[in-house]
Amino acid sequence: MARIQVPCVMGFYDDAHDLLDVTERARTVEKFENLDAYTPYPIHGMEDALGLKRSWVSTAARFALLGGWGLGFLFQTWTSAVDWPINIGGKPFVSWPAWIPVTFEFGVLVAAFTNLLCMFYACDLYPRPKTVVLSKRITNDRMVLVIPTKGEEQEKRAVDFLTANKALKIKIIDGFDKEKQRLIFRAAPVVGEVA
Amino acid sequence: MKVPAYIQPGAHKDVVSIGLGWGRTGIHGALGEGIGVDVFPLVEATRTSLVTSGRQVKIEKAGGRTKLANIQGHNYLYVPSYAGMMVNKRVGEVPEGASRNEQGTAVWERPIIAETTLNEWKENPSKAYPNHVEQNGLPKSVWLHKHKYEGHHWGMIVDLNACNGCNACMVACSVENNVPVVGKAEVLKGREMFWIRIDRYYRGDRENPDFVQMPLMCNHCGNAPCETVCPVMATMHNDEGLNVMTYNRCVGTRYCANNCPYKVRRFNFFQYSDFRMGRQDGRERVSPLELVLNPDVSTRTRGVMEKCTFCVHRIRAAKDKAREEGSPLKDGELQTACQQTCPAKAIHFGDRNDPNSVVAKLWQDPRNYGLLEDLNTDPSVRYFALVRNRDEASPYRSMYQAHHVDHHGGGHGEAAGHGESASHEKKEGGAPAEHAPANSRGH
Amino acid sequence: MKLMAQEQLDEKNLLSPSIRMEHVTQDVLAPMGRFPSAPWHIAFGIAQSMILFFLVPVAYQMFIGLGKFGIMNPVGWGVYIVDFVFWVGIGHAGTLISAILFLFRQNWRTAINRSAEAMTIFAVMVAGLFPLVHVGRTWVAYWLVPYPAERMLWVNFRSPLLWDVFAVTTYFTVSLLFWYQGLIPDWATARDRAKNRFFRTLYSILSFGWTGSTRDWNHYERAYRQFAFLATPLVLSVHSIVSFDFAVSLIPGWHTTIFPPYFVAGAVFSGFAMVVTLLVIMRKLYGLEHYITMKHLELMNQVILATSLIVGYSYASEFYIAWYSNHEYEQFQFLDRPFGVYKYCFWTMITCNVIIPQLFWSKKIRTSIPVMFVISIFVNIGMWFERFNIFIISLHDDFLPASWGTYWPTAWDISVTIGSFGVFFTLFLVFSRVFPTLAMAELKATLPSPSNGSRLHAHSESDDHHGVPGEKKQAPALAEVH
Repeated sequence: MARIQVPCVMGFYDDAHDLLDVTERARTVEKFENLDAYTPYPIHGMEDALGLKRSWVSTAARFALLGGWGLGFLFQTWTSAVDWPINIGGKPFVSWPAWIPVTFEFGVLVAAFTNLLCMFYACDLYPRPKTVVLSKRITNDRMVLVIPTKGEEQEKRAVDFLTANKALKIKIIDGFDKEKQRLIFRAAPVVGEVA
Repeated sequence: MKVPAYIQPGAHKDVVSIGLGWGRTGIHGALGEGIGVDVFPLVEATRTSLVTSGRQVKIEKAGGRTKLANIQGHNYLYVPSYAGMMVNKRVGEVPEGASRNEQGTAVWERPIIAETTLNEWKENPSKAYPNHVEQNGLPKSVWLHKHKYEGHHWGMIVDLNACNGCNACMVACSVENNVPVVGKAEVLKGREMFWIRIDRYYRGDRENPDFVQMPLMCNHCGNAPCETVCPVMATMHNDEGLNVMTYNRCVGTRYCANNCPYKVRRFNFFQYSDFRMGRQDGRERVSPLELVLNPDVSTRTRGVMEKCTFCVHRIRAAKDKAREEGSPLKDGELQTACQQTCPAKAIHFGDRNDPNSVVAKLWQDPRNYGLLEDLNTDPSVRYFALVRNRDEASPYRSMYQAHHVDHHGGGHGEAAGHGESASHEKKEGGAPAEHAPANSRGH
Repeated sequence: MKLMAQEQLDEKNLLSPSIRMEHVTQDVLAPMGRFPSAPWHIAFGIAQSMILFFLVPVAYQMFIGLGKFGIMNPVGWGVYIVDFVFWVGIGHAGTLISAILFLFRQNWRTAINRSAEAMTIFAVMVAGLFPLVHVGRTWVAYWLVPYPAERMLWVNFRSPLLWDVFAVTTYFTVSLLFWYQGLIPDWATARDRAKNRFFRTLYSILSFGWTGSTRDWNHYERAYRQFAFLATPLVLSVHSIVSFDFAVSLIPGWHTTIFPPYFVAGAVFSGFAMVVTLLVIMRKLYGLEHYITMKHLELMNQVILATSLIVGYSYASEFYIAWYSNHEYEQFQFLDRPFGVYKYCFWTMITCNVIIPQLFWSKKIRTSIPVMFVISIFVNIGMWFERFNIFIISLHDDFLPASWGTYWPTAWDISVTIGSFGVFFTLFLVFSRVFPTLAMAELKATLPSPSNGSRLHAHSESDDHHGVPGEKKQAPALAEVH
């Protein structure tokens, strides 16, 4: 849970469009920092609303693709022409046109692994027996805007902002209980569940 | 007695030929009981000899059908044209009066056997047999590189004129190379194991056909299609031009056999080498039987491919001997098993790089051609075209020209004299459909 | 690939507007949480028993050799390779749906991509068994992998079979990774709904600790798109390389440059037919009719029709080229197919692949579930025979008439083919029970927004470019709050 900054205020929504709109304004107008939004599905444009940079994962995969192609081609050349050249069907030792399929496949294989492993690394994903979640409804039908706060004044401002923007529910996370591996929640003072 | 009849082109309709010695009953052992039909009762023994022909017999149709374990089920080089469809590569018309088979109305022949007449040969040896590769050139290859064979470069010449189809080479090869005897059941499935086979074709009229015998073994192609497709390099070229097979490395994908245009590769569907040892009776090896094996040649396990090696063990032995004697290997010191056995001297084997060898000299002869050479396989086995001593021009010579020079011109008139096509026999490699329309009965 | 009904692809038509995100969660997770129904048990029992048809011949073969099968001298590859190519082909629809339709922004894929990808993986797994067991010495089949060994011998990179090894393993691996990435958010959904500690832990491990943060979605989306970019040429390359097994060799009927596109189209054709076969049953069995709607099925039937035309064109083209090439061996091969010993196989192929799918021109037929089910099975039969035609007829009469022979599958061959369906259906039934069968996260993205975006009076025109998928702009844009 290293990536959730505590304490913070959570605002619940059920509509992607609402969330986008609120997030955009929380960042640009209200100047909250390090915002995050938790959603059941990827909302297009949310990265922009949060001011996130484009992910580097696919770039890594593309470089891996090129590297895999180069490596695959050189490996075939090395085994067929350098390490143990053998006359096969009268063809030259470096029969490069015959190596295109394996070169291609090997590059794709390397790129696919790089892609997924980089994604795991970037998202800090690994098989873990217990996952700490903000709300179980995030993976179902709720979207949560998380506003990290520094001090009472900012917390109050965040709650007010979310209340004004008709959040379905507002909760505050106080901290993280390391022993029990769970978050410590506190109900927000103003609004409760609406929907 | 009741025996299956197999009607062959060219046989007189009043003549029945039966091989002696194939029927065995009452002899102890796996091969001595209930095999074939014993026809010795038909033979009359006089004091000095056996009378095997001219005997008075009565033949009648007995009905019934059986499958013949026949590895040469195809009779003609002709290929039928189905349903009257004719593609534009017609080689000659169906001769007038020829009986038409049920499937097609026109036939064409494949350029497999080259043939010419003596007169043509005398007139111009280099033109008598128009080699289509010489005329049209080889197909273009993407590979510019060509491997060099320094030292030895083995080659073989097979003279189609000399071969009389006696099958001695097949027997010699099987004995020399421990080629398993797979038995009737396997041959019926089309799994004969010979490393060399004799392709027999008829040509011309069904009543009076010409015969062609073509011994066919691995061609040790310079551009071997089998090698390219083997994923594990179990078959490759050595630096003496041999297409060698590493049994230990073979995984058994059978791709090489599929891709071989000559279909000379043989697969061990079972542990055939045990068959020879009598294992198929459920017994363990009978002790003295392993002595029939040639210790110079490894036996093969099931699941691997095998094929003609050009008697590589003999090559190795001859080279070793020459090295011990301190003299270079001389032509003629080395013979393959088929060559050694051939009574007609139809097979020549030797070093193509040795200018004085018989093979190197014959290699320059205009009569030679490579089988399916137009596939750019660069075979190391060359065939000598058939030269027939007869007056009329060979129709097949013109066929070649029709094939590869001019698709419609010239060939038609001379092509008269073909027989019908034998389409119905062609399908059944091991078990011809046309096997037993009648069973003969005699006493 | 251009889809015929692109203009009709309106999400409104695909899914009912009343479906909410929580419905998706409930409906998809429901089969995972309850004890399997009687029909499932029966189907599973049958499928598992069918595996024996595969295992028994293969075990027997390991002891005595390949001789019990029909393969013989000119025809070295029999039903095993027909089955291999058949199953690899089946797999192609899944990747097409998951990758190519993704790149073409076809939202209708979201309802079917999970099961189609599962089908891909299982089909490729089944396909991968065949090359392993068809070789003479299965126990050394690992020699096809280039690894440093004490023999110091590598492999022959010129062999199409080796290309196959790389293509099929890469395809399987990439499909699996791609599929698994799509599963991660759904495992998280299952984790958060888990009823007991065991499943919570299990799904937590499977979900890799997914939380749904946009910072993660940002990487996830890029990686997913990258996967689609990788998988698209990959799926085209796999069946192209499978076709190289034949196109690169020199046997008349195999040595054909049209094979790569022809095989790929055929693969998509058979794959979509298999998807239709499976989904028609699955949506009924698990009550997913609201998600896999008639619109989806109709679209798939249109793809089947389109690929049927491509395949039919390829058949015609082969015959034309045989005639035009002036190559006697090729010409004979293509006369032998419709009129020779295997003519029934040929005409079965033509009937099932070219003639029967033409019924899909009628909207009534392509929206009738029983009819499309039957047609999809016909297509699969036809595609099996297509491979039989190409491989066996070409081999049985090649260059030298003296080496010709006729191959017929034995009971053992047929048994193995039946058994391969058992392996496939067993895997698929397990999948349909323990995996989320619909891609929930992706499906939710295509749902109409629940409040129509009107709860917050905050829509300006400038927001439109966000393009929330599935969003409907029904409410008029009101004045900005601030």
